[in-house]
Amino acid sequence: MAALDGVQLVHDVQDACLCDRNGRRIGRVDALALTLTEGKPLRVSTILIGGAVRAERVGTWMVRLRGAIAAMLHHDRDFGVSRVPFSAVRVIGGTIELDVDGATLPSSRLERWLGDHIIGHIPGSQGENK
Amino acid sequence: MSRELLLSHLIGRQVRDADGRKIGRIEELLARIELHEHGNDYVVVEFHVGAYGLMEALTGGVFAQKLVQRMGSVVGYRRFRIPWEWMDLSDPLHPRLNHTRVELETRAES
Repeated sequence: MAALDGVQLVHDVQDACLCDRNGRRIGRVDALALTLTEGKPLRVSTILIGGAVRAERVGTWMVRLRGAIAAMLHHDRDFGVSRVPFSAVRVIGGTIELDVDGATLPSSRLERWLGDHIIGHIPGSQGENK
Repeated sequence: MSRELLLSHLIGRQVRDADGRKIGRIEELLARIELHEHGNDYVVVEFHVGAYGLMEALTGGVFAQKLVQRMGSVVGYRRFRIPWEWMDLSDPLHPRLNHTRVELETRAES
């Protein structure tokens, strides 16, 4: 699954593109959760996907800005954060392949919302013929 | 007891040795597969800690860090590979080695 000499979590995993079991792109690794147990090495436990966790990495001002925009759009404040266990990782390469169905992830809600409310109203977006 | 912390909360943290002396900042975590009866896990086996010498005050941003790393020995940049057993993360916001800087440098040279 990975190179014998190991995986560099910042270089190889953090911010890497993700695709689901159908090869569909589902976002990036916005954060990586590690489990700390006394007397044991840190275990890479969960991949977090979603704008909320990325905003936290940028700073509190981004969290507030994001909340304000969501409120302006009359949407609930969180489009959803997906927590995918690291055991679902199939391949770590240029893209990280996950053994999940991307359509079921909470973080896909924003994409679906944009598709329904904005992209879907653009002429030609449904793939109809000219 | 286990608890969760985010990788982004560790990266950039200043690491001190057992005597309280600065070692550098956490730049990278190296993980390897550990096999279990019920599958496998990726576990962190090594912390890479970079020290920028006299340029420390200028290396707050990622761009500045990359630039200084490229300039290498000119600006006194050093990178230590620290085994997980040497790192005390009982307070993850203030990581600390359970060895001294001298022991770390001896290990790095050997």
